[in-house]
Amino acid sequence: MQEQRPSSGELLQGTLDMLVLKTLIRGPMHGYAVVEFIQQTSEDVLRVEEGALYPALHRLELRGLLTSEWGVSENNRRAKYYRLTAAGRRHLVDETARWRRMSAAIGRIMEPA
Amino acid sequence: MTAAWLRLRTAFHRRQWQRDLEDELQFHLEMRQERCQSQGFSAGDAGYAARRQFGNLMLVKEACREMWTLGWIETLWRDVRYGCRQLRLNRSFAVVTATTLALGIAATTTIYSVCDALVWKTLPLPDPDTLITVLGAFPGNPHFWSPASPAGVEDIRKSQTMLASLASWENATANIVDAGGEPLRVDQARVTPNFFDVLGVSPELGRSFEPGDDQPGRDREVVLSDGLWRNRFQADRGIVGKTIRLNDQDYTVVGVMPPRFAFPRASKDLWTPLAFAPEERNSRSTPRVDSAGRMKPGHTLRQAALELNRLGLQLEKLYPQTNTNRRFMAWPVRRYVAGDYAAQFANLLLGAALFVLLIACGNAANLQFARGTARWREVAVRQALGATRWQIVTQLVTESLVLALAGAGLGVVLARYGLRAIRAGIPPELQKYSSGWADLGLNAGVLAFVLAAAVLSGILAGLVPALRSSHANLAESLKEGGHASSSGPGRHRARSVLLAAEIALTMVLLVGAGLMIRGFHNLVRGETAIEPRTLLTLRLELDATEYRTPEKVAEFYRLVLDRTAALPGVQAATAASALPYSRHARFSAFTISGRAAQPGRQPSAQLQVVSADYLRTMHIPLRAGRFLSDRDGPRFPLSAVISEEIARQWWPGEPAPIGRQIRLGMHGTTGPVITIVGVVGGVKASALDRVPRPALYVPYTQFPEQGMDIAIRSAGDPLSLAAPVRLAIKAVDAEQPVTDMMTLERMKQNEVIGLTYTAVLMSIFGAIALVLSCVGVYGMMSYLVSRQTHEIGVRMALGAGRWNVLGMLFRQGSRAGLAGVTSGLLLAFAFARLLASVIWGVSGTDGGTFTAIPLVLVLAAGLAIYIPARRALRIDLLIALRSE
Repeated sequence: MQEQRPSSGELLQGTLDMLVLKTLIRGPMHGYAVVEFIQQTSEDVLRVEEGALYPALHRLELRGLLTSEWGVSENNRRAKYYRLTAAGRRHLVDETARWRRMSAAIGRIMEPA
Repeated sequence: MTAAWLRLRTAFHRRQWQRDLEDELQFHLEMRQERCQSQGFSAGDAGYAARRQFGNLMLVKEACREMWTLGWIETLWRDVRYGCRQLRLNRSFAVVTATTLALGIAATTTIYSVCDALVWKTLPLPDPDTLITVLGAFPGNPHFWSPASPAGVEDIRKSQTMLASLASWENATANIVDAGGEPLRVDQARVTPNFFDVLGVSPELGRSFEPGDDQPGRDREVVLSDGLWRNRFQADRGIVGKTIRLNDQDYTVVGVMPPRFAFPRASKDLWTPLAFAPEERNSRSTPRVDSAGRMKPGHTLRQAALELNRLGLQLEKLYPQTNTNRRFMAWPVRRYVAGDYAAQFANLLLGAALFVLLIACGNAANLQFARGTARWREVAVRQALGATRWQIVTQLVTESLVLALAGAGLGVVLARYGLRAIRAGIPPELQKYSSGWADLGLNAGVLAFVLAAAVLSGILAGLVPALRSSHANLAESLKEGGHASSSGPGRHRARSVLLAAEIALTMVLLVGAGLMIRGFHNLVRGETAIEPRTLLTLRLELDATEYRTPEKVAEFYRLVLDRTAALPGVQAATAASALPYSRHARFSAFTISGRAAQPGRQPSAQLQVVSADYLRTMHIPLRAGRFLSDRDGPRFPLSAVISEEIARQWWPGEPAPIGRQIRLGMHGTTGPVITIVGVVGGVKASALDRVPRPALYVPYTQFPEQGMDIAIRSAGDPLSLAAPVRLAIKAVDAEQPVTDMMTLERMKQNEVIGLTYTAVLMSIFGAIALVLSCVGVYGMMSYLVSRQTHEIGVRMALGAGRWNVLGMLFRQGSRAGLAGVTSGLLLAFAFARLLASVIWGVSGTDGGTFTAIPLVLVLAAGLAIYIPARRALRIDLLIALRSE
């Protein structure tokens, strides 16, 4: 499978994946809710080109980190809900640790200046 | 793993999945739109804003779809479905192309199955690769073998360093008579006690032979074949230890072989120990036994063959009397069982069938070229829409593959009929010699071959046209509106080359077929004087226990001949130890009284023990002296009639050596003196004989033989005599089996059946090739004519005559044809030489064939050019001019 990367705003793909997983730890959500959550929580700093989210969701589903099922949204429409799998949780833990190490390292380089 | 599974699952619900994706994205856009509206946008602006924030919807869908597909498998599937749709749109093209390929695949499949069942099949013996057969050989003739003498085999056993073991056998027949049953003649092998051990097969019931069973007196043991055990002894599991009557003697059954065991021939019914008397064991002059041995590990057949050849040379020096020009050779056991000629015929036919397949591929390619022209616009449009060249080529080749697979399906059906026809043509008396006939059919291996052939021919026929079609000048083809005249000269040339190749291959096939038919005809014409159609023949094999004395044997045959001759409708009844075309011929050395031995010049001839009027009944002409007569009885001087070949060779200055005396046997023999009483014309005793054989006829009354062929000349249909003749023989001895009852004509046909089959199949292949090539020429010509309708119109409007136009078209059409005929002739000449070297009776330089076949081909091609060309001449001028 070729990793096609549609323009994902300012976010790198790996980071977007991590954010999606982190968001979904709060429970099953549809794609729109994931976008809304990321944008609101980051106080609109992280502006995702919304379409880019969907290839990311599908990719995570194919990797077995998410599962999906059709449900009914808050305004009574058919919507596809994504849920974190056990593998997804483990992956998130790993990613979080990795991200912490990275940002700490970058911080140490950037601070003294 | 998960990913693959998820993808596979969606592959089966592709539509549903597409709808879900649409829904999912649509839901997002609607949510966003509502959100924007709630922030004060108008409905239209909100929709626009939502889409802008979303990004490129098409790209997102494409990215998701890409992720969920199975890659090339789905692309292939899409191509296949697209191809099928295209083919449905152009049904006549699809049918013609698939049928063309079906003919080629059917031909190849049929012959492949025959080779598979009869020639290539591994024997049902353990480890057949280490098993070799050891046979008597003649220097310089690798295809001709004979049994070896017992002493010779003993020398091999002692001196061979590469064989771990060696078993020998002698073929024989036996008569089984037991209470109630019809007397039965069975095929017997007399084998050394280690026979089954060397082959590595043990009996299903009981035991095999034990050392010492080959001592005379201890050899009354028998191992039965599964078939005989079931058919004759009702699969009696308690048969081991019981006694059966074999040749009027008691034999103890010691074992029963498993069902698939058939060695040395599929027809073997039973095996008994081979017991030689001491003088037989030490004989070097009687070739009696074939042998098989296991090679020690690490040795090759070639090494063993070299060692055997060296031994042959040594023996020649030691025993020049008996071993001059005698060698030994080693054959793989499969070659021995399948027969040398079977393999050669099979390979030849397989080659011919592959030619047909190649011609079919060429034709299919040509058809696709023509279609490529019609699809010019389609290809151009797809390229304009962004399809890569690779995608277009894959798609076109896939289409060709679909056609080839359809052709394979049809081909398998045709092959089934072909195989049925082939098997139906082999008489049962020949089928029993090879277990392969029973297995002949479309097994898994054959079907795998069909699949491979289909895929290969699909690619072969599709690739070049596809490459050409995809190599389009985009602007040019769109501008031309897909009209045929947009084809460049290049594609034209490719088609011509293909066509020329097809015609060349057809030429080779047809010349091959022609030569085979000529050769076959020459062989089968044989001795027309014998008139084999009105002769009923049968074989009688007396057993030596009941007919112990020569007098008894002679008396039996005298009674049989008298009674059958007296039957209504019988013109004459005669007996011979070996009728022409039978496999019973026996050669004997003889010595001429009063002449000293000359080394290397031992007179010999086919020894024929016959009844008095045999020569007259077979229409063999008397040249001098007299025929044998009934007066040449046991108490009269021994007499013989010789063929003119013997007279010419051994009494060259003497037109009729009547009264000369000879003895049977090698120099130094002390046999009784025989007087020559007559000289007769020569007979080609086998369809394979190019010249008559030297033959020596002696009366059965003086030299009785246990086994004789009976030939009965009938006034009407010989087979109508079958039942009365059987009854007449039964009246003489109720327990005497009668076998091989058939007309002499059939015996003759059986002898050359391999050649018949090869000739007939080659002719069928040649005919298919001819039709395919003509279709190719016709298609090409139709295409040229339709392409030039406008030009022809212009020419004719300007005053060109019909003949001018016709001449122009012929020049165009015949260029490929002439190239094909010329190159084909060269190939055919080489092929003919090969054929003549491989197949006995075929001449490689048959002038008739080499004139007739090219003529036929040129005429057929001319017709295929003329029909479309004539159509061009009938064109209405106005329509032609408007045609563009």
